[in-house]
Amino acid sequence: MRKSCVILLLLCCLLLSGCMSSQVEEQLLVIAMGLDREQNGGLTLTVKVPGNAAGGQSAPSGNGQENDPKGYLTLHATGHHFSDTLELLLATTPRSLNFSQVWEVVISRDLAGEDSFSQLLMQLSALPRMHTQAAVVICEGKALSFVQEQKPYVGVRLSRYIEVTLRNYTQKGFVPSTTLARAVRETGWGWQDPLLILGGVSQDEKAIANENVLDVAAGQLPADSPNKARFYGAAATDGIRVSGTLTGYETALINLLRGSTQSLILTDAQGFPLTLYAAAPARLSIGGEASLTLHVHLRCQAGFPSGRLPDESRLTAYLEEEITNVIRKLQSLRCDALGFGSLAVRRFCTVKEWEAFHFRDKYTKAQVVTKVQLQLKEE
Amino acid sequence: MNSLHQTKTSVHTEKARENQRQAAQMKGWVALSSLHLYAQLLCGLCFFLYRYVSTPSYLSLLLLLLPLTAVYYACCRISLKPLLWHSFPGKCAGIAFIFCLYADAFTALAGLSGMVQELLPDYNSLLMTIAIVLCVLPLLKRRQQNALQNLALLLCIPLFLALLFVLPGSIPQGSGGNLFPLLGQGGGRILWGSLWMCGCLSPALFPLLAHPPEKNGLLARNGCLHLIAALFFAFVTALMAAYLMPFYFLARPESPGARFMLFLDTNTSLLAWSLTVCGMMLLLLVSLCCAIEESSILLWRITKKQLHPLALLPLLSLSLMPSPIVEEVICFLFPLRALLMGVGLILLSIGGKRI
Repeated sequence: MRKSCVILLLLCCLLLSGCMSSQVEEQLLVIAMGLDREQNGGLTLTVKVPGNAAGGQSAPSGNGQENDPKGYLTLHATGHHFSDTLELLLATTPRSLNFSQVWEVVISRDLAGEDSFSQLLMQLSALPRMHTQAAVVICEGKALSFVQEQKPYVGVRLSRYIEVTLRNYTQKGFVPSTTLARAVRETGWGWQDPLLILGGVSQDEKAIANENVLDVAAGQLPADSPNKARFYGAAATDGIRVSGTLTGYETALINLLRGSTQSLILTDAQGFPLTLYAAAPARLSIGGEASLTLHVHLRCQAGFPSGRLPDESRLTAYLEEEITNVIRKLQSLRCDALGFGSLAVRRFCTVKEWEAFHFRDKYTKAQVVTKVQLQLKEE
Repeated sequence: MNSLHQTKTSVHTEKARENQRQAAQMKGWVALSSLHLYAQLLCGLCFFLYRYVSTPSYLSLLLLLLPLTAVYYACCRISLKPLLWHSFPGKCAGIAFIFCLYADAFTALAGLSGMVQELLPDYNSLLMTIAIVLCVLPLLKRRQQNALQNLALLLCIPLFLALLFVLPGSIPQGSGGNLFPLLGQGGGRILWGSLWMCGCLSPALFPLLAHPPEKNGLLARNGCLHLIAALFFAFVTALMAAYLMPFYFLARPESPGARFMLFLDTNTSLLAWSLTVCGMMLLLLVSLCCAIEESSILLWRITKKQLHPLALLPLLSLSLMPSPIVEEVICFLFPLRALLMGVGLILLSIGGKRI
């Protein structure tokens, strides 16, 4: 009997994760955060919180607030540094801010390109009760505009909308899967560089002019739907800051090589659709100090009428060229997203030897060799 | 809970009943000491080893196998001597062990306070430390003998469950490359870290405190196997940390409370979070209680006096110190504990009467 009571008490401890020291009405649950660098050097911190359901009129911007019709409040404040900006925001909001429900941290491209980027990520993850599984989004343009533009177009809750939307795009491979905790761990500390989600607000309604309609970044997608705040593509990091961006197509190809996604649909030069399946993640190897080799095993299902299958050798050469171009782009951005560094470090016994090797310099100059083994099947 | 006055099976002789009671008692002691050892090793990892050795910490723990078995078997042999604590060397050894166990209690309390402060940053640290110390007070006036030992068997369950839930969610977030370079900052650091961690081996002293196993080799071997299992558990914990965290990240300055909850950033499961936090807090509380209980038993053996509640006051000094100083004090205590253990074992080996 006593043992049963103890077991019951222990099981009840599992329910404590839902306990909070204050009521829901006594605090503001932050769903999304944004950070911008202003032209005068100041820092703007934006938070999106559930507001009143009746909505309301827009208030003047500045250290202010705005309501949107879906019942969310966007609050922002501008200061000199992150800490004093946060203090100013806390001083001007009517309730304390609770960061345990943050699903998205949006940082503008300008701010993410600064040397203090990794320190900023650590400051964000150190916020009290911060939800470190939040996605990190690098935004082309203003993070404030992106956060303001975000609304739950499907469903009612913004948090759920962001969560499911990101999961959908991650499964398709168009964005990487990176949380704040992972970004903090790997930016500047790890042997591999993380890719961060690229976001943008679509402005232009014109159709994409590129031959490959997937080969664009988030802000270049046509604004042909109510949802103008888009996630598409990736931001590459070089161990210190964001060094450049990748289009959705390039991101999907990298995810296919990493094994994060299983398939990718693309169109060949003749305009025929191809579905690529990765049998396994690409096998990486490092040849001496001067070459990086990828062995990729792909299955291709071609949607052609019978008798018009593409030439396998030409298709293989096309895919090798595409993959090599993406790797070279990563090299030019000094971003080791595939993990060649994780492979190279295994050759060394101590950290001192590894540091003396100067891997990043060698990585950017190495020759890339891609070998694709392709199995072609008709649909 | 099983009472030592009630046997599970039918017995026909007084000797058989006594043997069953002793076996049940030893089982409780073994479970409690294994939990105590794992808790102290975890504290050692978070307060010292991650910062000093970083990813090869698991190698430092592996090197503890030999000293652990040596201490345990030395205690088993010494415990066979009758009137162990009545001689002057025995009393001096007892005092040395009490200081060692107090250092264990201080370490466990520091870990627990650090975790609670990390979870509840808005609350006063002094009040929280007092609340934790108050949990230990009922031990000093306990009615049922070996209550803590009996509880230890039950508390192993949340810990294993926590590991089962945490591992599947966390493993995809890690990388095999994080385990390299294998030697980190060199073999010297790994060895030095291992020597430092010898201060965590005081749970292996339990054969001196439990009733002597009466030359029962099976009991002695089982006890050692359980301690080795606890060491292996700590090894797996350190290996997981190395797999999930890159070298520089694990070595960076961080509060010990945050280090105890390192794995939580790699797992999105709320159940895993709950189990891990509850399991670790219970573990550290059991370690704290075990250290106080063993101090109390030792004090009784050498002076025939009970441990006074005021003796817990020095532990409260923890809440008056800033966290960096607490960390430095704990790191200083590690080699001191190993030294006290060594001195105590030498004194005991020359004290008492030989059979």
